[in-house]
Amino acid sequence: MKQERINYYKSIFSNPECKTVFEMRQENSSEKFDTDKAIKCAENGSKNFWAAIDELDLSEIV
Amino acid sequence: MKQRTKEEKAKRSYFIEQEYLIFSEHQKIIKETTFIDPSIICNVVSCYFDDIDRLKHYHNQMKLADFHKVAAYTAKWIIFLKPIQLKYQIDSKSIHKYSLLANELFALHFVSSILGIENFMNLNKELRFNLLYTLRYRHFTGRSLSTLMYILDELNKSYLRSNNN
Repeated sequence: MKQERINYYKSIFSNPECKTVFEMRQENSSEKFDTDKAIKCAENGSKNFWAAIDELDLSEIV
Repeated sequence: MKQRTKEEKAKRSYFIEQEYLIFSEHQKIIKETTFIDPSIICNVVSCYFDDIDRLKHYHNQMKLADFHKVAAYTAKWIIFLKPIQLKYQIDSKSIHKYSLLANELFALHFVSSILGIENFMNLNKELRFNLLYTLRYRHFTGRSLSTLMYILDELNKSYLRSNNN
């Protein structure tokens, strides 16, 4: 009985579909980091960024 | 563990410097009162690659770090090592809050560009404030910051989806 249960678990682990969350996430994040894309986003977003910061009351932080 | 070439590190350092130039361009106070130290940028980049390479070594199958990790681990070292410094000529009475928070603000600006958040105003005011407060005063690790980056990314995507509908 014990061996039967062990064999049952072995069969689950040997199933190629049995992936960890980490393995699944890695399959979805294979895109190489693009510095040009990031620079473009920074250029487009910088004014809005400072407008968003201007709205905050920073006296509670410094 | 992978050995990073000087060229790889130099390219990443240059990228951070470019980000600072854009960051300071639209804020006169930052431009006039701060500068970014190249040797500290190099230190940030080395520490970032150490963290990422350790992760890749531990997770055997990890070929590329996702955007959340790139953003989080770079922000972590910007906050810890503070590459943005105050210019020594500044009169201590006239130091603006933006100058004092320069590294935290730069880290936020940096992660926004990595995650593709073009309109920071889309995040509600309390969230913006709490992000800044977290970077300034709370204890965090690269991993916990990666989780935060994932949430910001999802928030931004959700906003873009609702805008397109």
